[in-house]
Amino acid sequence: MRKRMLANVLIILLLFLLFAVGPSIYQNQSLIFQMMVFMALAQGVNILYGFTGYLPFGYVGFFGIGAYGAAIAVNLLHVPALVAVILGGFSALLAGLVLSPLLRLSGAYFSIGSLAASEILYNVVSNDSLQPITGGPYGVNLAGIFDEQTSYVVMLLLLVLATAFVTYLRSSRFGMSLIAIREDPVSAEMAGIHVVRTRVFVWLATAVLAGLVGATYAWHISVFYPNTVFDLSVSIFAIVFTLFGGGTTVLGPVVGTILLYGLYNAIGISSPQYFQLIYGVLIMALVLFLPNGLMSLLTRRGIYVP
Amino acid sequence: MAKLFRATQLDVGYGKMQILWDIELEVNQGERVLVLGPNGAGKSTLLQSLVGLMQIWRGQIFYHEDPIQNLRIDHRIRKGISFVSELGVVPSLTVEDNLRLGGYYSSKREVLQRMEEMYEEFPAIKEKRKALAGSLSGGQRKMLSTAKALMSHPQLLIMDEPSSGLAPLLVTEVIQILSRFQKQGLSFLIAEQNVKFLDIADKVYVLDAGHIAFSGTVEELKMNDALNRAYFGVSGHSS
Repeated sequence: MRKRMLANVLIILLLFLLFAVGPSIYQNQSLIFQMMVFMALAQGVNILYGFTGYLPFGYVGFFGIGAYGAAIAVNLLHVPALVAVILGGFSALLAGLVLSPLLRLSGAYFSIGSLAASEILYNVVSNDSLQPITGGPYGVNLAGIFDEQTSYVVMLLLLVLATAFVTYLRSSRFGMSLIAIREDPVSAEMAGIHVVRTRVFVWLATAVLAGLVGATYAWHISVFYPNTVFDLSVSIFAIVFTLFGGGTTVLGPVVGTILLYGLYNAIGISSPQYFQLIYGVLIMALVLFLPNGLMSLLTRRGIYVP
Repeated sequence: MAKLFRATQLDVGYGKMQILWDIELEVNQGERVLVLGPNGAGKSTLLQSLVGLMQIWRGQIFYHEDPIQNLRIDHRIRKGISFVSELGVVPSLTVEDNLRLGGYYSSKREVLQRMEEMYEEFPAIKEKRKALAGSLSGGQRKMLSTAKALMSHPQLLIMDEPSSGLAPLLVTEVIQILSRFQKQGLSFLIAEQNVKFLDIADKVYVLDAGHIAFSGTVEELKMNDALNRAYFGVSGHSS
């Protein structure tokens, strides 16, 4: 038990060090920042799908709402950047509360429902008549608060926080209750777990995480459009990275993001046609041979993966 | 004997379809009560409505003479009612974690202590404590689901078909284990179609097409046609 705890703490520490010293080793800070964004989102998907069984194709909706919540807070309320980030998370929390009836759905119905919800949020934000508030289709400019360094540090803290939360789920009774709910809600209920309240809590926690990440992303890039922060590929990437590495583990989404986002940056931008091909083959191989992700190569052999 | 659990005038159904009519049922402290009936008689529906997994249409449920029909399931569990469904375990958790889940509301110390007690009662799962519940045999799973339900120190254990999928030898083992716990003061309400459970029953209810067709002792049942009618649709005396 103590060894497992040590392994979990080590992962968080290594992750922190990797991204803390990353910019001084590798020049492209933007890539490292984006990698942190996807890793944090992948941990969000991990919590929601890996532990609770809800595959959120519309997860990007919370990310986008977080970005716009922060942007509106800066442009209309003139609050400092850090307060705007918190308000971005709060906006996502409100969106999560409004969308919580989606949790009554399951399987593909939930995935499609969440996707539709994110499309609705996108269409509301990009509506021309909301231009004075959201900037409509013309996007948002946050050049006044642009701060590459501080936003990087905040993103790093968010990533550490998200990873620490997954670590907690991995070793706590609460995390166990989520797995029980995912596999057999009746059995979980009969253990005395309040299934509905637990599901809603996790849904809102992951919404806030995506909202905070979205808000920090907005702060970091400072100029963006609705289709930048409501891009479906954000959800897809976060889901694929999680599944590739292996859900219900701390390490899975970390490894998945480093490998696949690294691959995307190595060949995806210069030779997108090869990237699509390699990506497709990798996903097919994963589905066929490793449906529980890369980490299952170890867990199958009885090796504990944090 | 003091009354522990009682249901009166219970009507239950799915949507607009009624499944159970006017159910009257009682479990006294330390009693082993058996609900017998063939497939489709409404046994599982009855148990699910008693523990709160299904809404009841009409009637009342009492525990220690307090009405509990409006209580949430987790509150019923904390009061001392435990339920073993036909599956009853979480396959992707280890045996140990399943037991921990059973003691969800107990302190860590209590859980560890109770876990050791369960391992003593169910040695078959002790050997597999680190194995995933999904890798256990049907019999071991049944032991685990019973042990998991017992982790919360219940006063009343409600079990849905504990013999389903088990070899006759294992059924006898389950019966022996349940008898041991009864001696410790635990009460049972067991829904079964296996009449072997009559060996341990203090009281029997025969459920036939959603109605209580018989209630009484095992001896009284032996002199009654209700079981033949429920299982074979015929009177025992006419054959």
